[in-house]
Amino acid sequence: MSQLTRYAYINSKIHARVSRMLSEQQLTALSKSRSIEQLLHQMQHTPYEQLYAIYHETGDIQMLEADINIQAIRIHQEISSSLDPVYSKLIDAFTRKLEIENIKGMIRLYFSNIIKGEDISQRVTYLYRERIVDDISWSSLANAGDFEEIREALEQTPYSRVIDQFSQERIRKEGLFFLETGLDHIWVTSVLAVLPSLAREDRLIVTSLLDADGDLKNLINIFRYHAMWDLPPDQLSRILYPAGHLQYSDDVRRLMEEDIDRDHFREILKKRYPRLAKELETVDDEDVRAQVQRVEQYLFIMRKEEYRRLLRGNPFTIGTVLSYFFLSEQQDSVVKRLLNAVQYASASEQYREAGL
Amino acid sequence: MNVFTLKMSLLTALVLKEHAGPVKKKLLELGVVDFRELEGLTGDDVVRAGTDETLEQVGSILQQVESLFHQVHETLPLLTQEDIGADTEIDLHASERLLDEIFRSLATLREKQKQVTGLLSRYRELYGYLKSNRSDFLDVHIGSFNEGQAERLSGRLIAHSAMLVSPENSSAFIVLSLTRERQNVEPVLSSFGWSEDMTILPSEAGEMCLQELERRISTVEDEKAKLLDSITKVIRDRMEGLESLYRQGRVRQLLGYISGHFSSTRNTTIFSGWIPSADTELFETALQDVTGGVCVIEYTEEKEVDRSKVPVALDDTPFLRPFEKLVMNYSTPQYGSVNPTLFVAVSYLTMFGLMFADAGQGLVIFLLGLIGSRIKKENSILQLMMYLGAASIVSGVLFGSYFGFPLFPPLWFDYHGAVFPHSSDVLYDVYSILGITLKFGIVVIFTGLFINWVNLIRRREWIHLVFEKNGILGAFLFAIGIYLSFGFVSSGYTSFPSSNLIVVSIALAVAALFFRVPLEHFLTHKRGGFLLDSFMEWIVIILEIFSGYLSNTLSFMRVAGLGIAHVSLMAAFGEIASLSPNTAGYVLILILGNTLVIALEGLSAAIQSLRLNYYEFFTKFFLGDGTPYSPITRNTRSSGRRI
Repeated sequence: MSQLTRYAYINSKIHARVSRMLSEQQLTALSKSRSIEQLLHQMQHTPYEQLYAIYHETGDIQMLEADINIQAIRIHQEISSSLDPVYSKLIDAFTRKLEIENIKGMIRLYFSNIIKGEDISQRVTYLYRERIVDDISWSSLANAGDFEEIREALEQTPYSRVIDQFSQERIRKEGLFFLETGLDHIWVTSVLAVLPSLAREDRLIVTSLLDADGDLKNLINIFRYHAMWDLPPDQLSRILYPAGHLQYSDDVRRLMEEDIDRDHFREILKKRYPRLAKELETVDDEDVRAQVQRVEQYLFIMRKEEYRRLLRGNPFTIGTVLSYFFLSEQQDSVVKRLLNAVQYASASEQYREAGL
Repeated sequence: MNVFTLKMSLLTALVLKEHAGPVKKKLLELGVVDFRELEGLTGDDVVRAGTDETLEQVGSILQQVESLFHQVHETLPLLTQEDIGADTEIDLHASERLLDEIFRSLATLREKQKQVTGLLSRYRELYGYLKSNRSDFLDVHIGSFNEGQAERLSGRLIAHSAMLVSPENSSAFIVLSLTRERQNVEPVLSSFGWSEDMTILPSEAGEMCLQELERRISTVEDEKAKLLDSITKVIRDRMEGLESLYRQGRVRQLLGYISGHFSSTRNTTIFSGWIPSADTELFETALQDVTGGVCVIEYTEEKEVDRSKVPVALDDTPFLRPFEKLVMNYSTPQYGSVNPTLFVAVSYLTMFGLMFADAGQGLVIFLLGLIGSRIKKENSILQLMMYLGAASIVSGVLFGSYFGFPLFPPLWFDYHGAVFPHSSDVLYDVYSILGITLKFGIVVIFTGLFINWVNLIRRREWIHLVFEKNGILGAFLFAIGIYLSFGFVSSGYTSFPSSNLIVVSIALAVAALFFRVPLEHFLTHKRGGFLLDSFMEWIVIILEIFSGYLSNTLSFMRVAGLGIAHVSLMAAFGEIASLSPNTAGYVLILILGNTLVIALEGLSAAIQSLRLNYYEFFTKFFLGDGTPYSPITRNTRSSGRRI
């Protein structure tokens, strides 16, 4: 199948959706809303217009957030169903990211309820219970009374290989951090598994995006968990994102073997990301949190630029679809933050803090 | 009706500062000035209108009011002249107080609504599991507990998605809970001295719980509906205040927009804007009236201004409004050009009539449009439906088709008979229909060309008039092409008319096209490079003329295509209906067939007519580079555009 045939239909749909996305001007106007009603009223004729009816019916902004997640899942599924089987598999791999978020949500409920003895009766209603990618018994997951039931609910899915490494006792001791990180890596490995069957141009796009993302995320992880929280190298290696070149580099090997110091870290940065290293020079040396924040900001801007470039480039590649996923994910997250900000009557302030 | 876009005048008016307030109100009342920034106004004592900070506040207030109207499904009130003339100014503090009070009340109700929604979700989850026999997710306790504490226990249990049921005719109680909540529910039960006592069978307990859940879900749904009513009531009770606030706010906002275009010196205020020349007298009288004659008005003729900067207004002819919308939907015509609305009306309706020729179905469309426009006033689509229905009625009478049946003899020819001839001795056949639509297309294209020439003459673009694709030479070549084609058809598709004059004419016209670029170079004193330019443009224009006109003309065959498809579909439904064993089935199939044809064919014909107008007609003359005339009126939206 030619790239033109593959993407002609889906791209026109995506471009139509992109044209309906909220502009910066609209977002600024939304941030000035003084009530949820005003905010939702302004979102008429946008992809979020259905939120008004939901709020009118329920008065619950968490329901709105849940609906935003549902719409994202449906869009992924719609795009997947419009592509040929190989590419559909690729989109499904990306959709796993959303499925994993839902699984994580369910496991967090179990953790709150069973391990910490907290009330979850309200929270449980916000999670999605329809099919996303795999056949998962969401009700079993939501009603899990112990970790064994979670294992059973996810038995026939790719998530079982991570779940099998954990037990109730271990979670009680360690918390959910390593489990969640393990789950997060599954969508990346699913994408990597589909890569060989893609057309060359698409393969290069997906690889370069994953690698760029992986390197910066790993950089953040090393910096945050090793330098800030002193996570031992063996544990650090488990949380490294399974993409990018950095994880196999001598730099990282040395980091794992030796104790990292600030200068060493700067050297890596200067070599690989001179622009970022220069930016970090302006941040207070002692303020590690601010430095991590700057690295994250850099990652966000870099990704945004890259995806915008892809959207403007050759329309008959997977780049258009992935750009749309990225931009809509960002927009959904801004809208969720706005909903919360307006609810707590400080829209403009929080919007500015979000740096958007 | 004005054949061209309306003639505009750029006015500049100077009034005393003390008259500025009434002048603004008068300008809003008139609603004819499309304001412009004053250029070249300098001097230390000239103050341009700054940003009105309260405008943002007013905008926010209006948005909040709009959101409240939205919640109770009320349309926003339109401003009247009395609103503009009223002396009451919006009190921003009082407005904020009113809105704060409403939103506080709403927030309290929303919080209750959230809790009720949560409760409903819990009951629904229990109900869902019980109904689908998911006993693995449910715990059922049957027993008794310390007397007199049923209400307290029930309250504690519901926080953990559990429910206490007190069956009639039994001293025992039932507690239905989720397995996942076991570790929370069991301590609660123990604290109330719960003791298990299986005096009710588990299957009976399940049935009782199901009934209780149904009752509770219904109660909570009622409660939820009541809350929605309360929300509506909070807003409706203050509707009068909100409406008045909206009116005052809108007037303040619109006057603010006008103020934004005012500049002032110590004693005077000056503003500028475009108005239709026909309205200048009305404007002058109004301004003199409000200022007691103490004002200066100057006009700049549109000829002295760059044409692209003059806003474009079309003559407002009420019965042509739907077609004006079709034109403006494409783009705004250039200032001073022919207003194509009337031409669009004629061609659109003719095309639709030819594609959808049925008096009965046309009557249905007409009535739908008529009834719809009685319900929803000033809706262009519904008005257009009435016209389209009328066009179908006329063409249906011409071709003798009434719901697909030849109830009356046709005034022109039998379209059905032409598509499905009963004998070889017919005056019209499918080819005749194709011929008619092609001839119609040729008329449409030539009309477009003629409009283009009128526009070019008005713009004094003589070279384009002669040499461009849609100019005289292009039309001449098109005309020869038509002559040759009809000659070819009339010879029975065997030979083209041969004449030396034709060959020489084509050769001369094609050769003449080459001189466009050199002439332009000569007239604009441009030097060098014209040979290559001339050659390239010559090749392009020849290709465009020969392929473009052919495809434009053949495109009109779709009119015949849809007309024939319409007849064929009706014939097919007629055949299917005739197979029905009884009259009821026969009538039902015909009704269904007619409904489908009206919905699908009607839509298709309307879209194809639009397409032909936009792509085959407009491309001959339409330069959509005009700026729409947007005066600030009492119905101007926040963005500054008119409703």
